[in-house]
Amino acid sequence: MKDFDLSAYLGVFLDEVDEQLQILDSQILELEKDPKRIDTIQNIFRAAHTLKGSSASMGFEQMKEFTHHLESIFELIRSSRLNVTSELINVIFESIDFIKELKQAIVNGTLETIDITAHVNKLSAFKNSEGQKEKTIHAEPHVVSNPKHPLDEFQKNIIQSAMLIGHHALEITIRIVESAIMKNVRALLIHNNLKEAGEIVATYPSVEVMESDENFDDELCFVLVTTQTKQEVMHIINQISDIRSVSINDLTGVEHEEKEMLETTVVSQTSQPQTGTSKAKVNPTVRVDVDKLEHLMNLVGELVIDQTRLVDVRSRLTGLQSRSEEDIDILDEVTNHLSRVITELQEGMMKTRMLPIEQLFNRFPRMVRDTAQKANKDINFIMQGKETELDRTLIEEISDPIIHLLRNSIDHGVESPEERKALGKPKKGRIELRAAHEENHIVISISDDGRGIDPQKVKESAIRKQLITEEDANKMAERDLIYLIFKSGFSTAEKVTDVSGRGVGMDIVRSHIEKLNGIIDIDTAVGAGTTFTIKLPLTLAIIRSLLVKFGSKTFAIPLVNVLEIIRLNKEEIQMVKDKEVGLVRGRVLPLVRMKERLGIQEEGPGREKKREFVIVVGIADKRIGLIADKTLGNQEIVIKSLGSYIGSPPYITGATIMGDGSVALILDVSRVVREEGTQDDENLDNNRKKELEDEGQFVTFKLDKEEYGIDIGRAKDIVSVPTIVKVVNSPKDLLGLINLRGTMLPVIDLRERFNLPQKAQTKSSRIIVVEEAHQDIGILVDEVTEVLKTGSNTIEKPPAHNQYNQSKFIKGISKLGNRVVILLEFDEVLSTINTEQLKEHLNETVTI
Amino acid sequence: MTIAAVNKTTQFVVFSVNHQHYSLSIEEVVEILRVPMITGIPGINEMIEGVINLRGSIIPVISIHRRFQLPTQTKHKRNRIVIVQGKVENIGIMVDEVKMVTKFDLDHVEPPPGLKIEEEIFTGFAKLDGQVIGILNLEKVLYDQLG
Repeated sequence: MKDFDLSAYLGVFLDEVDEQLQILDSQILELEKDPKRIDTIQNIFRAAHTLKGSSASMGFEQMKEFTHHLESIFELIRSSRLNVTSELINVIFESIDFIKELKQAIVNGTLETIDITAHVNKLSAFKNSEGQKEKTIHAEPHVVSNPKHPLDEFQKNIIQSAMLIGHHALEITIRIVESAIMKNVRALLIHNNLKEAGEIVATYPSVEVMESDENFDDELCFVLVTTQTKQEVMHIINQISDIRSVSINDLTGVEHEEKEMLETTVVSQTSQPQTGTSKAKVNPTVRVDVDKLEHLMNLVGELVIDQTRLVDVRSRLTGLQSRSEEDIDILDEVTNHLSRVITELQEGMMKTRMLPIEQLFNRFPRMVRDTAQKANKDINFIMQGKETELDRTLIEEISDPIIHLLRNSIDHGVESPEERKALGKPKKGRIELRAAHEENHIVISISDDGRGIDPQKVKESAIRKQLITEEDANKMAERDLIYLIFKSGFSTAEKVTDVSGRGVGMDIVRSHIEKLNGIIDIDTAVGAGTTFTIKLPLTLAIIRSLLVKFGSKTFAIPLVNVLEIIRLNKEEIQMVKDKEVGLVRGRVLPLVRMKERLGIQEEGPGREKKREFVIVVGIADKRIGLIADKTLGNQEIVIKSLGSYIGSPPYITGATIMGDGSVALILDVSRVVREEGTQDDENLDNNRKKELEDEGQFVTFKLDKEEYGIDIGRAKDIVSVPTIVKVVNSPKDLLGLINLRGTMLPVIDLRERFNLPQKAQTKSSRIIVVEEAHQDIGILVDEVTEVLKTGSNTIEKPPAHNQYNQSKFIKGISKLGNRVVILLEFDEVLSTINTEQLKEHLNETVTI
Repeated sequence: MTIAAVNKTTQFVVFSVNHQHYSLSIEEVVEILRVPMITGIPGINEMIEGVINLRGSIIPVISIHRRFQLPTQTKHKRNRIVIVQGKVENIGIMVDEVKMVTKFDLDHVEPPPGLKIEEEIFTGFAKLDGQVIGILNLEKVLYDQLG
């Protein structure tokens, strides 16, 4: 029976051990901060006791023995017989680590081989130093006969502490029917049931005796600490058959005196908020095997695929103009409803996989403390957003990168207390770990108020380690320099410490995060601190993606990585150093023709397109544009692996199934971006930026056959021609007034200005609204052609000796292929019009 | 697998590729499909045609033609994909036509004639109605040229 119990409850036991160890970790940190706080000590004591109890009930002797020793230390602390020193805390932490080892040993089945004496001795050293006699505190009670058992010191202590948090102690005496078979089994059942209701402080006879079925008479006695009432406990016991009688005696009254006495001493503390683990408000939960959930999740994934297929079929059916429109309506309804249900189901499933990040965060305070101590730093560690939920697989995956970043902050970021003092900063460094939801992402940030990352130091180090040439480094922007820390083999630490500085960190952190479809960003200021921000999708299994075509092949691009979709004209795509770049709002965007990069061969000649779809994708602060042939829209996709046979082909992370049942591939954005990154985009960027600085943008328009351009800074608006109201007694070239969003705008006729013959307005006629000091002015042109970007090197000065008086209107002439664009000096054009006068004139006219 | 493994009770799936007959033990075959839409994957081993969706699973499909460097055949209605058990996952093999499922008489199975290539790819040759049918060594076919 014991063997059976073991295998069935081992999982539950291990979970419980984990839980209790975590409580210990966090509460002991509290204890270190405030050694006098009673409820912290109570929590610690309870956790240690639970550990002891459960390991004893599972029969793990070493663990029981060791936790017992640990517990007695806590007992000493609680009774103020032992002072909390950092030395003691260290030993306690070591002990907790040792329990973790023991736990691992249980999993591996090697528990028997572990020797606990060394660790026990360390603990005992403290006990003995305080001159305490130990081991008498909690001897296993072998007394079987006495029904009203005297409680020993230790048990009384538990009861007292339980009463402080509102529990009461019950002495339960149970008689089992004499003729009942397997009495010991029943006894154990009762024992287990009671354990659910509260904490069993004492058992007579002991559990061991119950199990062995020797010296076992019909009477059982338990001392139970619980929040439940007598009736409830009675009910629990009566669920088991063959019980002759039950009597329950409330011990709380018996110990009343002691309770009051204790209360007077702790009254000030109990008014503090309870941070503890009192079982008061816990939502009922069910522990589920992760595999089972995983399976359900897969099924939901299948459903999602089927649903998209249904939608696809429906749309095709509607296209066929089927006669049975009624049927299609029904199909419509069904698919719509199905979509809704599936979406909800999917969300629900996703939520079952969600865990609060607390699970992960709770490990950190301890780690930060240890690391800080080793590095001789004084650190105030703050965590926020513990309740933020994310996919459990993500929690596992994200742990290492966060640990690494935290260590970096402690080791490299925060200065030593002396240094901080000299800098006028508070002695205690501050490290903050935050988690929050942002739309469909989770954002985790780690910030410190340390020395920040110095781009110059990064640069020097990178050059010294030959990660980059000096020449290249000099061209890089400061921001880009900082990102060099993500290169493999990089570390600025002067010497390698135990904590960090081996130069194998940040690149792994980055690749880890990119593997999760995440993004990492750095924000740093020298002397003020550094913030690392990690942005991750909420879940890994199902993601939103943008479907595009590269050639005839459909690819899915995770929407997390997509920043925008733009269309670029052929002229806006230029060659720099044999690479294509696009100009987007003054920024240079490296372009990748994915079709060629992927090596997709197409039958038939590729058409030269006038405009290209460019999908701007980003990882960290790198942006590149992917040229696609077509965009198909957004879709939820279920990520599937390509399997080991195919392995991991370049630029592809996996596959997904489309609505029509075909397979589409998922693009590995990080790989493409990374590749572009290694090709010295930074320099390219800088070179291009210089060229851009000399570049002007012009709105070009046509008058007759000539093309003119005016500085884009001057053109406020371009509107089609509304009715123009003639103004009496106006200069000849003033065409009249138009109503532009409620204000009157004078319009001049540029043909008249340029002495060109009059021509009737056409559909393509436009009015360009030009900004002028006193009054905006509209100019009527035949056609607006485009916004032209042109470098100053392509602009020629107009010939100096020119017989035409217009020449002063001309700023320059831009030659673009076989086009000639005359760039106008607009102030000159308008100079003959006295705009101020015009305004007055206008006001007069309007008031008349 | 040696010839000894080809006992009398085993059945074989016989198919043709480029007018040649080949066979695989039925134990290795999971199912036989009509050819669905195959999605090619750029940048992988040439002999892998691509992947298909088999009831929600992604299955790689290899082309026997390309594996044996035979001229590619035009598509045909009778083309099939034979799904076999690979080391880790199921893998599809594109064949021109599945002929039959039959038992081979052990007496009519001969060892490979000694040519090196043949020794590697075939475990033996069976004679059936005057035709010679190569029994494929699945592991070699699937994994030898994978690189």
